[in-house]
Amino acid sequence: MVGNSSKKVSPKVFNCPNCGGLLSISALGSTTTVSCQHCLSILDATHPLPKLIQKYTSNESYKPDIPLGTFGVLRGVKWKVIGFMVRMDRASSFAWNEYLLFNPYVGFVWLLQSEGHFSLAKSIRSLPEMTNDNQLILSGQNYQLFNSGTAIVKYVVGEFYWRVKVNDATEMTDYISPPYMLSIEGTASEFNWTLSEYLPAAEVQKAFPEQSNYLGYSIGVGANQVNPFQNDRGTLFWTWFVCALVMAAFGLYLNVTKPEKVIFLDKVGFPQGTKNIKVVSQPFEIPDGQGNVNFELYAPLNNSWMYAGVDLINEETGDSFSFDEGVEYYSGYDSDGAWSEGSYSSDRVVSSVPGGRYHLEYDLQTDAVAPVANVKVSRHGSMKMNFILALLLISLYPLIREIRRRSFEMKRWANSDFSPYYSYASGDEDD
Amino acid sequence: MAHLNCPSCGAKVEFKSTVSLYTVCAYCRSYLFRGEEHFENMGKMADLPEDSSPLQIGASGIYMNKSFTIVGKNKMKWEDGFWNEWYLNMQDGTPAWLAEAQGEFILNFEQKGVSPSSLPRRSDIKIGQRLSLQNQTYTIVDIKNAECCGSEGELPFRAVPGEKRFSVDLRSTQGEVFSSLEFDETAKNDECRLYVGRYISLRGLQMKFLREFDGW
Repeated sequence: MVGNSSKKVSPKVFNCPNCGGLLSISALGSTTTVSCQHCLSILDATHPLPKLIQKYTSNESYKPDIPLGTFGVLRGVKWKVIGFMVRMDRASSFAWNEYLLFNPYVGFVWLLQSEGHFSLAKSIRSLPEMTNDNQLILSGQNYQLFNSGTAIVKYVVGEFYWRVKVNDATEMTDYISPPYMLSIEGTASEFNWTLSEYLPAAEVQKAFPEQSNYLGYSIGVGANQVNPFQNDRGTLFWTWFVCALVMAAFGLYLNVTKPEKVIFLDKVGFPQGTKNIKVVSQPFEIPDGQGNVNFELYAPLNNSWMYAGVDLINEETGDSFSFDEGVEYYSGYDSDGAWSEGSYSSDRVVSSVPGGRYHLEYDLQTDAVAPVANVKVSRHGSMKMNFILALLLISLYPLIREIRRRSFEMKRWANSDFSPYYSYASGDEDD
Repeated sequence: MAHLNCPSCGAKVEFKSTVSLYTVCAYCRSYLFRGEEHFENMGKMADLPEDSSPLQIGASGIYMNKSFTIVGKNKMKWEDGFWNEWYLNMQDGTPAWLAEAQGEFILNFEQKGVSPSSLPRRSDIKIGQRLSLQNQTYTIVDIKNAECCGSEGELPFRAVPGEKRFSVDLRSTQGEVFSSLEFDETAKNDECRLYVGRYISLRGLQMKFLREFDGW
């Protein structure tokens, strides 16, 4: 009849031809296949009365976390769950759930559930373009090849708008651009593109409040899950870079305005044949002031070492500051070319040294032949340590974030056969 | 808007579109052909199978700033399901179509004046084949052997249960564009109709007087 809009349309109710149980069809006219909730028989819904196609012979049972008939509001649209399907990747036996959602004014979408991660998927008509073997582009976004395989239907219950039965197989390939995933299913002549978007657990729990206790417990990283450490990567880097630059400029300024002030220079030679000497230096004045003095030991060696146990002794108070310094330098040639290890110099900061008259007492040891130990005591010179320390400090946060970002990505790609983090040919970790 | 009385029950029958040739009497379901001077009664139209389409005759909407009303429905059936073809009367009198299948809606227009030589022969049609129509390249993506389930309201062609049609879906490089070739069983010399349109949402058409559903 024409324009009979006064009565609300209800789902059409039938008796299952196999078990007699009641089943209802909400998407009448679109639904092609119905799987009876009671006996799981597959029925052909394109006839006035559903016809039996296949009885359920498996003993595997899967329970949907969101029952058929549940209503939920997602992204501003009210959906009804009318179908539930479990599919499995043939090669890995990895299984996931798909809920068919229906709204008579909008059509159909899929709610995908995989290891507790949810995505909202719908068929798209636009065709992505291949940019290279492992990459697609659609609407200006690049999608990376993630997985490819054969999806087998393990379980179906409820309504579906195409002919489907248990053990149906489809070739399927996924490409990701978090939070999106592009999937292609089918054969060369008949294929379907689906675009899915990752749904945060909170959003799904809010859409289906009665089932929220079962939803939102996920394992690992979802294929198209957004990396929480990714978004501000650019700003973070530039902030760090600018800070480092400012610090370097400041350090340079300090070096220029407060140059190194040498307090005392000494040269200690080893008498012929000796490897161990104890020397007392000339006295020198340490002016009052900052409190820190730099001590540097410099010895040009080749393939040997020098060690100094040093006491800085205040002649007036008798206070002493004791420390050790060591230098070593080795070099040579091997199959890879020239190599070297170590350094000619070693320095340290001695803190809180009050002004006064001091001398140094050294206990020097070496295995070099006739080496000379050069000693320099100075102030202000070694901003180097402070700068390095400060750089390390400001780098701490970005570094930790970058490590976490990378760790997240590696967890994501652990589920993929096309991971950029692992080279499958040699089995080595490759970047 | 020509109106005459139904030759079977006498009720007033109105054609909203000047292009429509057939209509189903809303009161007695007689299938009427709009002859030159009077209606011809072609028999009773069977009830269409029920569906959960949100559309109905009398619903209205707006497309490209032109308002339209749904004036007719043609239901098609094929091996794996059904689809509906809703006949629209635009406010300026031009006819349009709203195709509905698997929850998707396509607003399309019949292309008139297409030179028959540019259209393929029915026997040549194969999936994957490329065609050039109206300066656009299309690929044939689907072929359906379909039959009519019946009609409601007014339509520009005969749509009675059992009438066979060979329906060919085309896809262009621009995914949103839809195109189809329809060959009627009764058409002579491989005559076919070409339709071109785009996928559209009901919300985008600002539709009113849609059916209401339990739960929504």
